[in-house]
Amino acid sequence: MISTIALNSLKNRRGAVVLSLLSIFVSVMVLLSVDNIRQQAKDSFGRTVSGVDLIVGARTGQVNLLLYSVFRMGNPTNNISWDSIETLRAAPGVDWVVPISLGDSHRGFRVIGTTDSYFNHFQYGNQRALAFSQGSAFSTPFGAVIGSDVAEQLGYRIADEIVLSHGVGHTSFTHHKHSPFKVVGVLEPTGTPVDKTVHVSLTGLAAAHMQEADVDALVDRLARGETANVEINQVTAAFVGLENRIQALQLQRNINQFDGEPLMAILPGVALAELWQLVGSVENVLLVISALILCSSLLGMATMLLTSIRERQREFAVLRAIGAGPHVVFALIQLEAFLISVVASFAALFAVWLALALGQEWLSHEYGLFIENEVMSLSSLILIGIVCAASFVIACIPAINAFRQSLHQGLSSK
Amino acid sequence: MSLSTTSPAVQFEKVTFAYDHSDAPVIDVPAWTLAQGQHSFIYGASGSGKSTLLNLICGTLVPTSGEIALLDKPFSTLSSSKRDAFRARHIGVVFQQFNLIEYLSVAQNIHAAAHFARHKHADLDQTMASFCQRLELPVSILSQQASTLSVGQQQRVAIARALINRPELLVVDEPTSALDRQARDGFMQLLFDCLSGTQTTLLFVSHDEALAERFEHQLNITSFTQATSV
Repeated sequence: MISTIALNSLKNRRGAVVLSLLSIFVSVMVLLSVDNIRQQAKDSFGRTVSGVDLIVGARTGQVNLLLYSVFRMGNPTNNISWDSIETLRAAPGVDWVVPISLGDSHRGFRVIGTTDSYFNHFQYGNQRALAFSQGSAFSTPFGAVIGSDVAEQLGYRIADEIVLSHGVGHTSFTHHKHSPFKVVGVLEPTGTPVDKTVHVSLTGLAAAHMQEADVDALVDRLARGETANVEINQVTAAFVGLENRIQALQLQRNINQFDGEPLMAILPGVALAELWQLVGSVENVLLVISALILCSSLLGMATMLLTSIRERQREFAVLRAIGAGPHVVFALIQLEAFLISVVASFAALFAVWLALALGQEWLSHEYGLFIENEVMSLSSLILIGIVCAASFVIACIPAINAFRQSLHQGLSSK
Repeated sequence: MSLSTTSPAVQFEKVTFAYDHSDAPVIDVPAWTLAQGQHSFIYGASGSGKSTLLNLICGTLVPTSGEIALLDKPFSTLSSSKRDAFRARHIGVVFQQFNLIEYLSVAQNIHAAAHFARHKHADLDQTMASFCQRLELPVSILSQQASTLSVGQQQRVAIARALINRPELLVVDEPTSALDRQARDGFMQLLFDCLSGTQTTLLFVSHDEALAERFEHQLNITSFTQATSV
């Protein structure tokens, strides 16, 4: 019965009710979107690197090493010698070592020099290996494997020639014009910085920095079927896989105390968590802002209900006359608030779900954002639960007001 | 009208009531009894304490001192929720105006009264239809929204709403003040028609002394407000 009364009462004041509903709808939509994106960002952040037990580089901060080796952001402070890589490979417990060399770019995309085992060992997401949408890993020094974004944005296909620039800017003056790199593979989208990377062999990258004559000589040599005679002296960092992950801490300490040169090893998971603490606070600020927006919407609804109380005195007198206690009046106001909040929340949930379902394709296509549509989740339901709880707390203001009024006013309807 | 029953419908025992304890009491009744089945008319100008008296009888106010018993049972000493439940089951109330929740249909208004009384009506729709007939209202009015009714219609629906749970006590407060003369006479006639053949005790409060002749008992409100003063 109370629900019939509440529903009809809301219908009767549909103008104000629809406005309150819209206001809560919009704020819950913002809240759900922010929460969803926050979760996704954290997830995609954590899944940028997987299957790598240690990252070794020159001595620097652990966030800095993570940034340039995994996120391809910022610049390496120093290089490490090839001898160290060899020592590392020989160290007990080490399963594999993938050296990487950074510092060049191709039309705004970072170039990374590495070995072909990179494609076997580097993983992202939940232990997902890199996969080729076209072609395969490089087997010659001048083969290049490009990420999906690079292929997409520059329109590259297999066998296209590319030219590297020294430095990482978009317009570099010192193009390595005479380095005849050819695209041999295109990777599947991963939603990680790999998508924006051009991968070449360490030999090829070294050759790109040689004199023009030497490069020509090397090309001729390769054409004759001989192996490249380029010596790699140093690399930027190395990804290390262990036979047993338990050894990671021990090996990390050994590397940090390495005699040959100052080295540093980081555990990617720990460094990612530290980096997330820096970046994640922005997401938290967004969440707080959307929570505040929600609060103001709920207060708006409470105001609407509170103003209606005065004109509803007669109604309360009638309810009292037919034997309803003041608690019924309290429940009536609360139920009205609850109906508004619940309808607005679920409409918002559906709207966000629909928007993501429709926008997912476009976001990944245009911006390389891999937002999974996980709005219909427990976390969203918990959020809606919190919205309803907050609505209850805030609606106590008009409800208690109505309770008191109906108690004191009794049967007089003036 | 049957006066055979001796048990009182309303009984006041040394009742005083003041809105503020330091004020002089608004209501002061050493003893007053209204027998069951009686139709009583209480007259007095507005502002003379009528609504206070009605709130006391309906249990939305409690006496500052003394006790009120209804239908031979203690009433004013009950908890407020028990008084609400008692009112729902045993007291019908008709106000001067605005008796209905205006955004509900007529049927929903009557349903609400039955709901709070927790009365199990065998056939509520049938009962409502027969009330419409007796109150000279078209049955189609049941599905109409209360706010679309004329004042006269609303007051008649209010009788149906008040009597739906077959209450032992009907409290009526200035029900005709918003009606013209003709509608007033019609209303009074219908009210008595509906009560005829029932044991319902009627307490009718009005400032309109022209209505007094229709009642077997008349009382001036001053007997409630100034009993022990002066």
